[in-house]
Amino acid sequence: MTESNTTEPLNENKNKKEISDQSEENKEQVQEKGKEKGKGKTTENKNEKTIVKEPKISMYWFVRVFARKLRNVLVPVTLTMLLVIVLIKITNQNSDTTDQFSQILIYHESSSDSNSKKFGGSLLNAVVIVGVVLVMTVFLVFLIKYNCWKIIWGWLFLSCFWLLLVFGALKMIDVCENLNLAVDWITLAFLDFNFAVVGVIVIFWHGPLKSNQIYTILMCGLVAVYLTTLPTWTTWVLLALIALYDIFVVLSPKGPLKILVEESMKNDKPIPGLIYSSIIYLFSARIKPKNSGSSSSSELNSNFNPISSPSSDSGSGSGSGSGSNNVNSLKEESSHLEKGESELEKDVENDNTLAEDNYNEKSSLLQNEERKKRRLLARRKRRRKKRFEEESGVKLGGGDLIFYSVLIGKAAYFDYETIFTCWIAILVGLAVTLFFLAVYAKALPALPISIAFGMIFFFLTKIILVPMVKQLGVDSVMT
Amino acid sequence: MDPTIPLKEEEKESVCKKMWIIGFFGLPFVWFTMACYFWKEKHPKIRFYVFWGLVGFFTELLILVFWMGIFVSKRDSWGETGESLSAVLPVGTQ
Repeated sequence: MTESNTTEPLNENKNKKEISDQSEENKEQVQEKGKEKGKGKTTENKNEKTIVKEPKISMYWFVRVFARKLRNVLVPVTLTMLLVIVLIKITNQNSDTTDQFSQILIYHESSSDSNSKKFGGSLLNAVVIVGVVLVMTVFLVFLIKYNCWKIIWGWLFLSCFWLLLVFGALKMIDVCENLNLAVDWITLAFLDFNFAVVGVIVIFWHGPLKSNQIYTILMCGLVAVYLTTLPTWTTWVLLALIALYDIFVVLSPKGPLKILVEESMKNDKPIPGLIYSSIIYLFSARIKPKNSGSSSSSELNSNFNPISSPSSDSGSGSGSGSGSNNVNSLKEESSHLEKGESELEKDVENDNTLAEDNYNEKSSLLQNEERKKRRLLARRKRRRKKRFEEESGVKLGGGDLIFYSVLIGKAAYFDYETIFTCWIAILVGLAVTLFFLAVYAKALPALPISIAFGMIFFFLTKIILVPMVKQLGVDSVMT
Repeated sequence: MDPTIPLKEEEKESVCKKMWIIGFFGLPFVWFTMACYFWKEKHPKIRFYVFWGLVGFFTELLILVFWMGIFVSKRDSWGETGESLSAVLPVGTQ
């Protein structure tokens, strides 16, 4: 789900940017002339009486911000995928590895079944899983409505801790086994305990932003690696169904996510959980957490209550719960331009009046003026840079990361070519989603487009590209 | 808490102190994150916590590395204790 904080459509934003930018640009050397599209506005330069400024392009600003946003989103997605691929390749996971997941599914896939039976069975499995997800989302909505924040925090806390502790330990042991390392229980327990505690502290309490991002990636990666152990047909049908579910839950007015977001916004309490945030808001005073509240709340969904409970546990519903976000949202963080602009205009006024008043002492005044202008210019540049960075901040839901990585994980079972094509397809889907986000400026589901592209390209590559490449290789050897 | 809202000045000292205390429960990596988070602070108490947290972190890291070295090399000669301590038995050894 992609969401923008400003409810104004994009155009008004652009106009505002133009006005403020023009007053700034007067003082700056504009080198990007080639890309500029003049709008023919003669700006009332309240400040500089000297320079005739170039009409500033908001188009350029828009493109730069979009590119920055895209980079902020692609990096975590790519890193999660990389983690999943590395873990899968090191532990030699393939379609034969079954995990706890397979034991709780209704239909157990076996290669001797006919295609239609497999399809029917996996559809049943996927429907059950999505149903569970829906139930957990609704449950979460109720908890929020009745203000049971302690329960929510406790549940999320426990499930994240459990996830990091247990899944982390299992994966560490798997990796050590495959790399033939001798590890003892003491070291393993120590490192695992540290890993889990630091993760929980950084996500649910305070910690450097980079650590928060890294742990979000790690958590989503771990969940994705375990999800890829589902039987093949079930995984693909599940992916398709989750994409559809995402559309419904984010866009429809009755969707639990919408309600979740509204409720959370009303109370102004963000739901903690797996959201990847790309920047810290420097002007925290002027940016109300309303946006962060909505974004975090929308991410949350518990996907795994039955599924991720490891074989040891039974009744401990603690485990799995909300470890993952099923609701996939990409939230766009847009800065509040109004206040920023008024600040700039105030500076402009000051400069103006100063210049008019002390007209007599010209020489010293000129020096003062010069210094003041330079300082103003520097300050404006810094503010502009901060605003630029804030505008290119994005929040990405954990569920997105998980399901993209599951798709890549399934592609990793097969071949390297499928990995590459699926990766590119997903990134293109993300770019398209971001574009729509900028255009529509409201909550949009981030999953469907990327997953659709990913699945199409996976099957195309598997059926057409790989045999072709193999045949070409064989031919060049033979002839 | 929302990671996009930076810490306020008043809260920094209490957060630092809590992380310092948590680190004493066999969690040197919490000291490490505390150091990363509060590296640029100038408040004397925070600098105290950060400095000694880093000292503790490196000490425990050294102990860990020593223990791992000892374990990896002497595991075979320890017989039963060695085996019961191992979480992973590498293939190709007795």
